[in-house]
Amino acid sequence: MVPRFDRTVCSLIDVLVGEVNPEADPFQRREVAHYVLATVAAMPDHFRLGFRILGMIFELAAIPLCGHRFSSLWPDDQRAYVERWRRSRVSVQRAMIAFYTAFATHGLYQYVRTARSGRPLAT
Amino acid sequence: MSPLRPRRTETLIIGSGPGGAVTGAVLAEAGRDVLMLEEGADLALDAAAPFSCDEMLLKYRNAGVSVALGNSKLAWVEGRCVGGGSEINRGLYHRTPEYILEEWTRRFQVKDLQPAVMRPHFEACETVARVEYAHHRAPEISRRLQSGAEVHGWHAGEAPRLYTYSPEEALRSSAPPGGKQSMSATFVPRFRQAGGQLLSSTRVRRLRREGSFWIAETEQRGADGGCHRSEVRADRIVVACGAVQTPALLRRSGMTRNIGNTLRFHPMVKVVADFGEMVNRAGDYDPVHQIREFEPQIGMGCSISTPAQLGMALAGQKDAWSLVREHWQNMGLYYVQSSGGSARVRNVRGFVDPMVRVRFEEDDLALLAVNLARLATALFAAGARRIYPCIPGYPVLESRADIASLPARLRPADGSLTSVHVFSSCPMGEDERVCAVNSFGAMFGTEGLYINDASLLCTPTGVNPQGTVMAVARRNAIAMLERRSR
Ligand SMILES: Cc1cc2nc3c(=O)[nH]c(=O)nc-3n(C[C@H](O)[C@H](O)[C@H](O)COP(=O)(O)OP(=O)(O)OC[C@H]3O[C@@H](n4cnc5c(N)ncnc54)[C@H](O)[C@@H]3O)c2cc1C
Repeated sequence: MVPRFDRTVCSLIDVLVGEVNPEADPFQRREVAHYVLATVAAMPDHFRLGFRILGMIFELAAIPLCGHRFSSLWPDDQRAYVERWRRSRVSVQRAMIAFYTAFATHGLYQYVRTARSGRPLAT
Repeated sequence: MSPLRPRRTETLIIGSGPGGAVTGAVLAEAGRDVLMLEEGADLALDAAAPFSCDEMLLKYRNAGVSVALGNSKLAWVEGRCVGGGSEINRGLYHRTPEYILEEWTRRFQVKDLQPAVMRPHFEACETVARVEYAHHRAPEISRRLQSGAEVHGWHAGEAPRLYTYSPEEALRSSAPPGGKQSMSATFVPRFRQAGGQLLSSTRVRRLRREGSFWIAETEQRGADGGCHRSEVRADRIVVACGAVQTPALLRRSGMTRNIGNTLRFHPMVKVVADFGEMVNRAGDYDPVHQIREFEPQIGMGCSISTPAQLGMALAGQKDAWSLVREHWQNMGLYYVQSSGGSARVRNVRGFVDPMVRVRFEEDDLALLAVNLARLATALFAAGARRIYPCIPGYPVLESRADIASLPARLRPADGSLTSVHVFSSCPMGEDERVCAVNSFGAMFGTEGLYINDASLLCTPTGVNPQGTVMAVARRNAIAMLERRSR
């Protein structure tokens, strides 16, 4: 079973990858999500704890707003919810989305290009 | 990798980055019994493509996620593998500017730091880890910076690198053949050849004194992911864990006097310049040009500009993916760096990783903003058609006139500051009010405990610091041999 936090991050990465490059296929999206999860697992332990708590809030705060946990929302609702966090007045919400966007983008350039053409865009 | 059983050594070196590797080679070549412990793995230079996701997961500390919190955030990166930061850096090389050595002598009362005393140490390090200019091989994105500076009459030039561009030339000499002159390619093999022992994937958790010995409590990660705890007993310990981990280890071990109170950086902000024509090709050598007109307060240069780096830098822009996909060959990534901000390294009960709290003054952020504008001016002079500041909410600059629209100082909430250089957390010198160790790295008030890494550098170097770290480490290692221990 995929742990809850991993499922939240995979859904979030799916949205972010879709924003940057809608053509990325599910396999490529999963590769990027694995990279981001490995990064979260390796980050300093005090941040990791904060990220896990924030991830849980991100997942559950969707219930009163949208009727379901974030990872169970329809894709359009997930996108709207991410956008709401991105534009939040609370800096930690914006920072969380910025963090995942930066690492998802980094992963995209390596894994998506590699998977598609058999080699990266440039090395 | 053989497991670490409780053992005894004359000298234990903790950390195999430039500080530890140079110290190890000097001591082992002098016939000393030396054991080196390194927390990270022992990996081939080409274990992962440079600056790739895989490299960040394999060779960077915390996968490249280290953030100092405070009145403005700063993200920095460090290496965590055999060779430390030298394995993941570009190896841009400078000897310490003379005015920096003079400042350290004056303000921190460091002995024997005159340029003439340091010269042989630089020369000796440069014969092991070779330093070369790229000259005609420098990529166009790099040359553009130089040409932009020249238009304004600013001093700019090419920095040499710890790199051998011409394998044939290297083969004729005794140096290792072509490529990156990281520690794993230079000082670490010398250390091993001279009989030094290196154990990787082994972290020192804490130090303690028992009689006339130092005990290092260690934790070794096995191939199965399990952890094996042990101890090393040593007459002398050299801590070379880098400018953040060295104070963290010492503070965990109860040593706090002037330890970890003055961590410094070279904070930088970046821009992407689009030149509207091809300047950036796959397979180009790394960029090497720097604008030096505004040193020591400000440095400017050209960063690694692969599509991934450009993509990360432009992540806040609309349609960044297609922008990079269509135009990456016309683009270069440039930085301006200062030496502002100061930070404290502290351990927090219950956590392994230290926390870093940074403080910037208003002037630090204003200085960066002024020089971001200068950098943009140089890039327009070099033919840039469009400049994208990598700071959320900043306008895209379409012409020189747009530079006036840039804010006069960076906003603390921008969160756009990064650094690849960390130092000065345990300054050396004879002024015990501000220094953690004496002029040669020996800890005040105790016997047989030394620091020999970037932590010692009294202030930011203003230039790329690895040359300074290596030369100071060599000078201190020789002093250890001459005086045995303090
Ligand atoms: C991406 C990047 C680019 C850079 N570019 C340049 C450049 O172009 N030119 C330049 O001059 N400088 C550059 N630098 C800076 C340069 O790499 C550092 O100044 C230099 O590596 C510092 O050497 P050090 O020995 O102090 O520490 P480090 O290189 O950080 O080495 C410390 C080692 O100690 C190990 N360690 C830490 N704690 C423990 C423990 N408790 N137990 C066991 N081992 C431990 C670490 O894993 C690490 O391998 C760059 C750095 C980075 C990260």
